[in-house]
Amino acid sequence: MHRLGENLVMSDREKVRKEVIAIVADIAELEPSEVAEDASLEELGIDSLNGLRLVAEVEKRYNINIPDEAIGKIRTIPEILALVDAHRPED
Amino acid sequence: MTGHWVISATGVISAAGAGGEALHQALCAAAPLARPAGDDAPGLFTASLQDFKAKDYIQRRGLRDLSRTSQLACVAAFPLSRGLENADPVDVGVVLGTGWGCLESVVDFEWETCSLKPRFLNPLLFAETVPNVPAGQISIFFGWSGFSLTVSCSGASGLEALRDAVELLEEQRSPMVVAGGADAINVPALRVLQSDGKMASTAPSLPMGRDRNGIVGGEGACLLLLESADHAHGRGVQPLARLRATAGRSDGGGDGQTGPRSANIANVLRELLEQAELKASDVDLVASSADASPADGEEALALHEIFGEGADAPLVMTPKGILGESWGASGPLAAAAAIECMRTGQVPPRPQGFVTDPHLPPLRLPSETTNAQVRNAVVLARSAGGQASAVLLSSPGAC
Amino acid sequence: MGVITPIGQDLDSFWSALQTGKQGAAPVRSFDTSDLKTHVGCEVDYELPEALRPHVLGGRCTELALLSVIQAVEQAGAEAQLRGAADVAVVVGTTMGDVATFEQDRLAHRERQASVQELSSLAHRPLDVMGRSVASLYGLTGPVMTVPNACAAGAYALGRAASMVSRGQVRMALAVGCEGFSRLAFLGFQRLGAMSADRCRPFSRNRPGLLLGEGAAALVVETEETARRRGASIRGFVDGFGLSCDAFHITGPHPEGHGAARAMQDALTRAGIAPEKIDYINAHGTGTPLNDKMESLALRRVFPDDASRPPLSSIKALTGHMMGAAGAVEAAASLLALEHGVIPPTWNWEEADPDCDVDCVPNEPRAAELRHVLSNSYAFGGNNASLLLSSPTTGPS
Repeated sequence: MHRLGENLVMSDREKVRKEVIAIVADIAELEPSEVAEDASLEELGIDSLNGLRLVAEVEKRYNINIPDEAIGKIRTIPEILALVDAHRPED
Repeated sequence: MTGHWVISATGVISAAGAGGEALHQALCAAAPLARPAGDDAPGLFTASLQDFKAKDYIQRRGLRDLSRTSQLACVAAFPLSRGLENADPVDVGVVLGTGWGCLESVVDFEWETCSLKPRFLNPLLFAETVPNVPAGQISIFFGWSGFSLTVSCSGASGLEALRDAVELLEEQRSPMVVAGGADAINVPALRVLQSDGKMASTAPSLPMGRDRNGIVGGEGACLLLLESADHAHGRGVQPLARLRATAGRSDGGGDGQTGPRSANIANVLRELLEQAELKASDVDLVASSADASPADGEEALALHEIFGEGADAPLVMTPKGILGESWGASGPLAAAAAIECMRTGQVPPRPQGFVTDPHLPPLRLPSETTNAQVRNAVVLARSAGGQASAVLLSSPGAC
Repeated sequence: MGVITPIGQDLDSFWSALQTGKQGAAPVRSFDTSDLKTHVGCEVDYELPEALRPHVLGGRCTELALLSVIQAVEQAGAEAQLRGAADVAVVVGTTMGDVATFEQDRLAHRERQASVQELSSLAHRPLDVMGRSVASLYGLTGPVMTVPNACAAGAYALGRAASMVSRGQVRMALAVGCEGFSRLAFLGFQRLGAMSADRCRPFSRNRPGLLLGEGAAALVVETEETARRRGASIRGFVDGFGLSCDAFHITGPHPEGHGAARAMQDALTRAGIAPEKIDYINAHGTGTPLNDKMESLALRRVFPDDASRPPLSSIKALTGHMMGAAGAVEAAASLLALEHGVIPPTWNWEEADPDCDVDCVPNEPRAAELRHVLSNSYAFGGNNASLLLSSPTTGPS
């Protein structure tokens, strides 16, 4: 059961990763396959205004509220994923 | 005007397509581009760019989510950028005229503030509510950092931008200026003008024509690259035309919803000719700003007063009969069309379906495309608030 | 000149407020902010004389503009020179133009999209409506120009007006910067994360952001010769107008301040005045982390020597950011500073910020011999403008 539970968590995380990459790609006018996860948002061509839009899309998608002070510090996709993880309601 | 200023490139996007050549061909085909605007705007006629996407013209990211006005402006600037790849960005200034700003963005953002939580408002949409943002987007997209100026004077915005560009060149703000105008089809504004009775209710509604019954909404952007003749020569660029004179003034017009009176237009034309050191008989072509509104009569009177009638009077073309009224873009579009007439030696006919209005003084609106040497062309623009603006272009032989 | 601001509706009360630190900030009155993050702005509580109403072709922005123009024309003793003139220009700077009537009409109907009637409140007040109203007031038939260059518009208006006069294109020009308090702008700047919840603290460490304001200023511009010939008193000289564009980001300044520095340098060069002759900078100083840091950097570029760098201050601490009006109001403040020989301080300043290593004249007016002042304005689209204003006793450069 424990292993099964871990796998469920892993596949959910993978789903979120893909969805967030898709949101990033759309904002950046790229294909998801063109989004390198280790690139900064700036390197992907996402400026501060589009960064705000990106965060809003993520918040709407997962029904979460990322604190304002955290939004200003977001630079990378892993940071977004960590915030989604931290603020999603427990299932 | 103290300098010798030339137009060395044009960028055009309108319902006729991209480029000055496409514009000229559409004017010579004489088929009005007005169509019913669609189910969400019953009774409205517009001449719009169908399925317009900036990415179809510029294969770069960063334009998709801008306002339509900003996208049109950038698409018009793109051909100019190809000739400026080696220019120092600080050497290029931008002057953009817009009649409405991005009024549709104001309406859309206002609706967002009513229907969305504050944290989900689109910050880019907010930015695009500010009228100087299209000019700013041009500067950012192409890197031009000399200066940026936005001007607004309703339908005269684009020609006023050209006039301001000349002043800034004469102040030596930068050796080159990208100047012109942009406005997008603006359904909120058109619905208002429709309820005011200003819009055409039946087609064709043609400028200066007997059956004119109101304006057709248009859109587009047109930018001209201005520099001194010496600077163009130094760059190895052949000018397309000389911007020989500019003039403009307001008569504090009527109720603000008509246009300048004939006396004002005539004074502007006199001032223009005097500045150009030309006689009325030296002008071969007039690009009229007639838009099928009641104000056409005032312009016809002024043109007749200054230029007379008969074989010695200049040929007159009415671009808005094909393109509709594109406000800030209209004057520069007409200038680009005049430049094409100079280049091709062909002046477009009046639009199909045109019937002469016997109540207007006679003007030379040819019924067919006419071969003519265009040495000097006058381009007019007007605002509903009473502004009459004009530029005089001379053919490259005069440069 | 004439001013209508959240801290004073004539030159004397405005100047007095700049000396005493009267705050323009108050809870917002013109719309409900209860479901918003912040609730404070700098509005003007004014009354429009009935005699002016026929000339108000727009709404609130137009009313503010007209009030400032009447003040300026009266103060300049210029009404007789203006009435019916064909050689007087009107140059108006604004950001949003006249959106107030539309916004007010919409407040009662926010459950649905705008009706044609509400849209007409917007479409019948296009960007040139303020200029046309001013022209209507005096029967002017000369050039009417509108420069909607966002938060630098007021400076652009004065700079362009001065150019037209000095070129001999017109005999006189009315330069106006105007803005009405806008719910759209309030929500927009909040969305950008740029807005303070209580005070505006330019150049102070941990400054919380800008406060939105409204107002208008008008300046009567003519040549020295014309002014002296008609016995007018001269409030100062526009010696230079510098321009540049960041070409970087649509809402944020270039962090290195190159564009802002270039605009200041351009003003100095055009005026033929060396940097060391500048006695004070009236800053754009919005109180946002980005702007004030950038402006400090730009200042250090143009004035690299610590010892001789002029002090700067921002009056936006008290007035809020009056957007299109700001550049014109701040030009008026600069001219008053020159006249009185006093630098208005940066009020509400609390703590030094290492990123703003400049003398921002915190919290106390400072007497100084002032001959030349630079007034900076920066806007969306990376529009940068700097006006070089000189004391009337100095004479034009």
